[in-house]
Amino acid sequence: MAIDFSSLPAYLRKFLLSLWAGWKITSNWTEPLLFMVYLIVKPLSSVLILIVMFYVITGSFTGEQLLFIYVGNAFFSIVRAGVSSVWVITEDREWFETIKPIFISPGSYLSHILGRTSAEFLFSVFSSVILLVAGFFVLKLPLGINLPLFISTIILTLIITTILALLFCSVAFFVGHGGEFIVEGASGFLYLFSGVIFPASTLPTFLRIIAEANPITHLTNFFRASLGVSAAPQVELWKFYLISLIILALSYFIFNRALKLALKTGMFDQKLGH
Amino acid sequence: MFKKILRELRAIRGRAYVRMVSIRRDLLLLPFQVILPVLAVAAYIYLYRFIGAPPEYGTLVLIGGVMTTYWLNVLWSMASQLYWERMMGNLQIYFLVPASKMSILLGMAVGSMYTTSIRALSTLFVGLVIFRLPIELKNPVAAILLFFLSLSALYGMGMLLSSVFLVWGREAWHLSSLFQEPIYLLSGFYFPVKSLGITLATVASLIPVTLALDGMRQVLIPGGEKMGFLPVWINILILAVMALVFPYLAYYGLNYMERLAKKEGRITTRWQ
Repeated sequence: MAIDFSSLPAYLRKFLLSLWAGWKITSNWTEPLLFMVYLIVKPLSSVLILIVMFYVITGSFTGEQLLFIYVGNAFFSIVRAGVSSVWVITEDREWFETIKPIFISPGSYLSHILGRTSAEFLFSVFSSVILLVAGFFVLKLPLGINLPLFISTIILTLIITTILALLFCSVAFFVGHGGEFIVEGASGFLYLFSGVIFPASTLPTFLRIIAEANPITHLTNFFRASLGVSAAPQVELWKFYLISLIILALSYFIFNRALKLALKTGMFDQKLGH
Repeated sequence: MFKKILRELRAIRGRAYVRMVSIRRDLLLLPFQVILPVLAVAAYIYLYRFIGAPPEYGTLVLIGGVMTTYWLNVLWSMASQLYWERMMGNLQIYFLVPASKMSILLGMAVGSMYTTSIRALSTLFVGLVIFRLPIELKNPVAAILLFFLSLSALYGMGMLLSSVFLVWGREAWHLSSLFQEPIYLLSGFYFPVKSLGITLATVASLIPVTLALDGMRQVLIPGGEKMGFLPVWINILILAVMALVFPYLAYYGLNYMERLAKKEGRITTRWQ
């Protein structure tokens, strides 16, 4: 049964079209095979850096610590997709100069941002899956799967990625350029304070508080637990869902305020060109 | 002749000014530019602590972190710059300016070095003051030579790459992106490059930052000699050659690519 696209609500149409545009923008600059290689090379290099660092010190390619590092890093590329949403604003405003037509077209601008971010999210999921499969078959990492926990974690990740997209886009409205600094800087912050490549207990006490208050630390641990790498975190999953949804509502509020302010001050479509 | 030199100097100053002033024009961006990049470096320092590495490895990461800021700048603000300018519709203005394109690129490099050095210094400050990482200035002359020669070679390489990116479309953006993590791996930003083995480390030595990192670690880290791949003087020698060759190649590359871009009508082509 074919779906009548025009009968869908405007926000959904905008979301789907932006998802499709995100896929096209990211992938059609080269041949499909080369694009697949591109998708794999970047995350593979980042994990190889960690493996070589581990090998230089321990002289081994096995161990619980490596498993911890490997899975955490594979997961982080998905979280990073939320931060990358900053590029949507930079591209729409500075490069493609399409921010005004997109804004006035039916459906909210938020639908567009979420559509573009979802494309990035799907690419990241693909890269992570490739990394985990490679870890299982090549490095013989002892990975298992707890399906209900895994599905719950992926849904939670989607919520957290949306929160990150809303918050970082709120900042991006007010910076003329330099999306790369926001992506790099914010990723660095999350990489340090999310227990991605080392447990939060490695940090000094005053920094550990930040890491333990950070929902992504617990999310990363849930992901590890869903793959049988470690025991499930102490936080109950339903409480985590509840907290995430409250933060999501708050982020939505912040985004709307930021958008209104950006429109009022004229920064929404301000083009610096330097 | 004097007027011509003066004009070129003005072009250098003009282009450098835009870069220098931009750091205080966007104050909201300042934390993202200066403070937050340090955190990624801190993550690698804590990773080494987690796996029980000696403190010298923290200094190794710190030097890698300092050079990362320059490498990212060369990629995103030098190599891809002419591509950005084309995307924003400024490129044709560059070609109308009565000055050499090399002067414009040189101005860009000077301005970039200034702004990037602020980021690099903040990374260095955090490493030395907050993490109290061990550092030992065993050979100050070699350290200074390595640093300045590597910057000259790196920005020369950026100028050369910018001529290639001039004719490319959206693949330029993705190529810059692709030059991040794989180069971090190949150049040994966070581990001694010799761990990759002789063949890979030799290939990696074609990138100036590999040689700079290898040399600087030997002269700045206590016991750093053990981490070295090539003797320091060889690193200096190769970097000196690169610092001359890359700008020279950039000059010819830019002229060739400019002709090609004009012939194929790519100077004003946007969004492709």
